[in-house]
Amino acid sequence: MRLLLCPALLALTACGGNWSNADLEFAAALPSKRELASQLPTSGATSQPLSRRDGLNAGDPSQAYADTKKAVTDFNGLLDFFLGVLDTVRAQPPTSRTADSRTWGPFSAADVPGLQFRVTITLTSTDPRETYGWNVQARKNGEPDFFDLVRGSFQASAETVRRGMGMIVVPVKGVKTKLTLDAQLQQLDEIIIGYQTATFPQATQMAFTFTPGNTSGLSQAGYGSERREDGSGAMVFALSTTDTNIRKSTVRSRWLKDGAGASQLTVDEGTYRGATRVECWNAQFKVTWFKENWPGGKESGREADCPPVN
Amino acid sequence: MSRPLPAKRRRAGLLLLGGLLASSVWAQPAPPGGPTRRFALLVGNNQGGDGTRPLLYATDDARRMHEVLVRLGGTSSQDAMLLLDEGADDVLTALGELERRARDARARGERTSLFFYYSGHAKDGALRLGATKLPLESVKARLAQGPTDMRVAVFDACRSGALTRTKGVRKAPAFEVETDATRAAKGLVILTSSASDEDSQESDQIGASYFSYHLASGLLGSADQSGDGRVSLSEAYAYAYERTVASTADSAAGPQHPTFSFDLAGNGDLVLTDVVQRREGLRFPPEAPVGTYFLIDRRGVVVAELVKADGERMIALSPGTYTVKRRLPDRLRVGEVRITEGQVTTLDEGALKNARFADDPVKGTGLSTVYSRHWSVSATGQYQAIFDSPTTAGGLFPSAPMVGGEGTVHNFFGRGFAWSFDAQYGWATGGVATPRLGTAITYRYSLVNVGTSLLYEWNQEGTWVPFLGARLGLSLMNREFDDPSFPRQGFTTMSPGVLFGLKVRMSRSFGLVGRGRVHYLLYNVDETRSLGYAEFGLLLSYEFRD
Repeated sequence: MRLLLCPALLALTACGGNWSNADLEFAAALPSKRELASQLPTSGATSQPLSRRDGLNAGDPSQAYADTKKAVTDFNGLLDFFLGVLDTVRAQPPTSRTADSRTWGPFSAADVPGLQFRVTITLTSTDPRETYGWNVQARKNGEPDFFDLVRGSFQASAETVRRGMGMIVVPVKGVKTKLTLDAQLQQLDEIIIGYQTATFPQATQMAFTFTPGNTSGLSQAGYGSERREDGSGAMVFALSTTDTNIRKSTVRSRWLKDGAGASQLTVDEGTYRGATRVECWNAQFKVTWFKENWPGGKESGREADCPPVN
Repeated sequence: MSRPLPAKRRRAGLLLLGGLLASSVWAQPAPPGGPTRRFALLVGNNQGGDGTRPLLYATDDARRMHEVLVRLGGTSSQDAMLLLDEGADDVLTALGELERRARDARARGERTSLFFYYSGHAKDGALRLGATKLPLESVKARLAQGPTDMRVAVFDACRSGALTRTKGVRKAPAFEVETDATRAAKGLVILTSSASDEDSQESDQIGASYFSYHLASGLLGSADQSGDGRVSLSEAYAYAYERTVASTADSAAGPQHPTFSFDLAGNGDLVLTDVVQRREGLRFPPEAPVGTYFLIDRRGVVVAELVKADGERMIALSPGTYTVKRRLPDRLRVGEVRITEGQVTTLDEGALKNARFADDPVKGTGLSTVYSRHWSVSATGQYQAIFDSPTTAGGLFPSAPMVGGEGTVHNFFGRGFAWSFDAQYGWATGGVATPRLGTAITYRYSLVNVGTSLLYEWNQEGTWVPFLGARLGLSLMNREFDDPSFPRQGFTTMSPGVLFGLKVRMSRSFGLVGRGRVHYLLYNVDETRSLGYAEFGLLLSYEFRD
């Protein structure tokens, strides 16, 4: 009996797992919400009401900061919506591997019944640099073919596959033919996100192409985000208000690592079309200088108290 | 403890057996026809083939008996053949050679005798020598028809009493012979270690089978009931019988009863060993207290037991230093004696010192546990080095320090063969970098390694115990990245390897072990790669020895 134990143990020669350096390379090539997100400093002090009110003066809570923060929140929320699945998938080992690809799934999501999802990333070229194509696909249960929910491409930097330049496309128009989307997405035909993380300032642009005849009346809109190595950043976004003088405007905000920043609003639509309003705030998100250049516009504080944003 | 056979018992045995045995042995010391040329064939085999479990001490038994017969039994080393773990053909070939020599000796007018000894398995009517078999009846017939004047066959094997179930069988404490006979005996005497329905038992405590151990001890002089300095066949058997039954009385397998049979003509007793002729050993003077003495060699093995009565006794020991132990009801008397070549040392009992039972140099019946099956446990500290590029240069697994423990059963598969189980935990921090990843992705690494080893230990009784073996390990490796966006990665593999090392005994139970292992490691996720690892460790071991 004892002599039988040895061959029995020797028969147990199995090995396996998900220990893979190549998996890390593929995972690093997928866009990360964290790396593309805009990073506007916040603090408890910003919890105070930031609604627009007349008579804004130096020392008041900054409305421009509040508008910027809302834009950043919306921007990051959209990234989360489209890239969250990638972050979830990347944190799991791939389901299957080939020399040039990794695939996760098909898998089901508890909050999206009736659908199966699959994520695939493929190394499409190594000359002159590693270039990857990837897609997030879905299919209805029982159907054989997958369709794209999100697709993208990425070209690595010369130094590392963790940095580079990429593009993400959300083919909303095609998806609408397969799935029932919510009212906001129904107004869109396509969302394109471009990004580059190879060098600072890193940048992410998000462009929306609206369906002709949509209720918003827009044809295109977008965000632009910028991140610098020193922690400062910028955001460009469109703003719509009920103020008939500045119904639609473009806002270019910049901020330092400590949160102090400045914002310039250019009126695109409204009585003051073409006019600008500049607002600076400090690290406590209080107005340090405020100036409207249209007739009767206000000015408060000193321009010298603006933070050194470029 | 054994006692000398009472005179009444001897007489009863004589009445019972005397009629049969009156002509049963050849006369000593002056047999007709001049000196006797003594041949001996000693066979020991631990393996019994299919359906049997390896024995631990059969070859040791044969080796011990060979040493006794050559040293004290009047058998020259040329005429004593020792076969260890050999097959049936080898036994028959050796027997044929001795028979040829016996015929030549007889042709020259010499008297001849053959001592055949077997220790090993017997099953289904055959001696089991490894994968080969030797039918008992054919062995018996071969011995019965042998050319020597006298044949003594000793079978130490399970159910060996089957050999004596026919003519002359006796499961009895002793047989008596006439010591004043003048007519030399001719024929065959068979001694078996157990009855036909009994197992022959080995003991880890004595490192031998009970029967062979007591027979060998008796031949050294312990069995010399007459006190004439010679151990006769009847004395040796009586001693071995009594001691074997006593030793096994409380065993799980039950008492074991040696047997004997005879087919003899003539009379006179056969002297198997002469413990005074060599004039080398330990003399127990008449004034030495009566009682049981144990003689323990430097390895811790009890080589002889002596139940001393009134009068002088002699134990023929080979040169060396021995511990003498006498057991009293409330204490021990312990001391050392040195036996010098060619000299008889007289025991000075007064030089022995009192000792508590807890300080018994040998536990239990006073015998070595070095070769017994026993456990040891160890605490381990070691370093595992992977045969691969550094992980920051594309390598897969990092090297890491490890701590753990292991348990070992020594002598599990036979003398020297140990079986061990071990478990270790290792940890490290590292970073994985490939040409594509660029800068390293840092992680925390952990490793659980469990395994089992079969190893052989040399010189178990010594201070330095080298060992070598094979191991099958199961490694469970895990790395968790500091960047939470990467998944935890793991790899599990069975890996065969070899191990080697050296134990240094620091005390009876504690030892310090230096050990190395080399293992093969198969990686098969991204690609199939043959890797390996080496481990170098220090162990602090503790042996649980009775």
